[in-house]
Amino acid sequence: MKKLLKQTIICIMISLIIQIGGLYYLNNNFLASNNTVKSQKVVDSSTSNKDSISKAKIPPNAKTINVSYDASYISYYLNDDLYVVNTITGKSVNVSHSNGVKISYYKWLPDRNRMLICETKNSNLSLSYYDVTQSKASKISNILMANSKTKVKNIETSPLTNVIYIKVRNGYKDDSIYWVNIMKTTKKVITSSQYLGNIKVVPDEDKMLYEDLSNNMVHVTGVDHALSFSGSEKSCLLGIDNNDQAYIGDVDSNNNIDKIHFGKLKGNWQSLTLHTPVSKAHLIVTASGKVYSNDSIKGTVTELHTNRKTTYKGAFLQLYSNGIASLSDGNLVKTTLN
Amino acid sequence: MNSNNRSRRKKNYKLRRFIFHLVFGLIFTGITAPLIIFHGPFTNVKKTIVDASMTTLSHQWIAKSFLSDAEIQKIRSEDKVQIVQQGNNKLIKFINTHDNSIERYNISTGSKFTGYVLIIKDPTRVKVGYSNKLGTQGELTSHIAQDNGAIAAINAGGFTDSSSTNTKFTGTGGKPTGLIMSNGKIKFNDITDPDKKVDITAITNKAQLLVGPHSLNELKKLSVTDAISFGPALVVNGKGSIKSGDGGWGIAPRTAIGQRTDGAIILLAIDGRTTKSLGASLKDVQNIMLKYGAYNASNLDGGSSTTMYDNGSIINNPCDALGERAVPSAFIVNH
Repeated sequence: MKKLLKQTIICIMISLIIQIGGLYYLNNNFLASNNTVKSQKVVDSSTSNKDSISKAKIPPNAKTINVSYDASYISYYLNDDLYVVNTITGKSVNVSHSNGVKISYYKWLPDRNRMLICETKNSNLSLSYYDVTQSKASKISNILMANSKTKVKNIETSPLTNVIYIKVRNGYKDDSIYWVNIMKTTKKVITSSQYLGNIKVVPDEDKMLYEDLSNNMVHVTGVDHALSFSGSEKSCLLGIDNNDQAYIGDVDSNNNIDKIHFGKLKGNWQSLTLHTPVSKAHLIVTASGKVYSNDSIKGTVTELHTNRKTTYKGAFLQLYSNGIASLSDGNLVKTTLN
Repeated sequence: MNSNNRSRRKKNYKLRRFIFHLVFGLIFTGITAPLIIFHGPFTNVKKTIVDASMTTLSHQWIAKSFLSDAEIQKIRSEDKVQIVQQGNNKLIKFINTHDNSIERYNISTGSKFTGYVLIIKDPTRVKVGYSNKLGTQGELTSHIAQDNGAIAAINAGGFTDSSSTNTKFTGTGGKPTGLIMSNGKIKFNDITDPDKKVDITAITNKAQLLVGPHSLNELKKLSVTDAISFGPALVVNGKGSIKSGDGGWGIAPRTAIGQRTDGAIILLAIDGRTTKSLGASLKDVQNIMLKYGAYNASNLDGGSSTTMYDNGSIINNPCDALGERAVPSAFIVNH
């Protein structure tokens, strides 16, 4: 009994010491406003490098190759590690963490040289960012407890409203969407079914568009409703531009797109009929509201409204802010759009 | 066999006792911590928690369950920023030397925050820039600078933090509050009474910085060319306006602007909400401004909005996950 009393007193002492010590530190270091501020003069030493020839060499076994919004950086997986390479200087950085952290998905932001990364560690799926220009990485928040089958399929963002939508596939075909806002609050988005295709975020409003694969319709979140167009049985989501205009394709019996409806969610819709139906994978909607079709055999990208063609070299990678990124003999080639 | 059993029982007993002490310790800490925080000697901790909880609507119970209303009132009033009128005839007069240089400093307190200071020798270069889609959406500080061919910029005025669907914290910078005036023209104004004084940060046609409460009519009289509404004024006529306490806004990322008696403009951005830099109180900002010789200085929109752009890139670390945030207005430094 005496021993128990003694141990209890020790317990109380430890608790008090930790509390008082911690509070003392907070009180006099973090919360006091009389800190001595050290200042250091910064002398501008930047040497401008306006070289436009890409020095980035892409290894042949690189996977999931993407360029940033202005093609200043290119990124890829190599043996499960994620590399980011400066396309002008050729400097390469391994972004992966070392112990037990597995990168599940990464995506470049649409208007700055920063990427979002989903990682799993001890069955915990978390979201973090890597800012390339500042070489800074930081965790944003935990999303969910994951199992071995959990895979992140997509991340979509609106840098204007600061919301992030993450599409996660849990089992065989069971999809859920998670929403993260500026205060790092996470919630699950209610969708009309569990079978989801492409997702896109409206830039100016906190709303998401998604393909419901159970009825082949494009839905809008919020007060959830499907977008329907007369004469179309099957729709797919192609993109949303910076003016909140959505681009929805009519899918024909050969699984190609023969007509594109575009317009604001609350406004009037216009449509564009394609002379030759194109597969969804070859249609690209840009932030400025242009629709391009890629012909990978001929190596040309055509703007559908004006029919303007641009020829590129090698294998098509993606479009960036004002050009086409393609790979030729392991080199990144940037071609400005006509 | 018997001794094996006994040692196991002994082990079990030890484990149970350890868990008992652990649970007891946690409960004891849970009960005593609020008492030590709210009634102990750690005034800064107490103040911060009271301020943080009282400036929200939903968490006021935290302070109210441990302190009486009178005690809360007393703590809150200690932290008030004094309102000092700048006075129209006290405006600084300086000879503009038109020195084209910008000095840059990195500042740090070690553990509490890191920040960045730009000193612009020629104040006539500092103007207000605004979003190219003002009213519908904000623009990144760096883009406002680039659109105007500016070399440096900091974010400036505030905005309503909700998007058109009115989800909280999804503001696109499209709904500014108060006044935005650039190059002698009013670009946005929701102040209806021209004699009503509100916190303004403005620049006159003689490149003098105005801070603190001013009415629209006063701004006209003082020949203001560029203005945004934000405050509070932290340094007025060479004196700090926070005499006691930390300013009552807690610690967060901060943006501020000041002017020295020789006319040079001081731009300040302090990072926050990260493990490396928690943020600064208004008092911290006031101290830095005074240290850099500010004669007048005002706080600007902080938090996720805090952004400093210099020579082609963002030099601070905006705290939001997506990085730099869209804002309605910025102070820009022309070439």
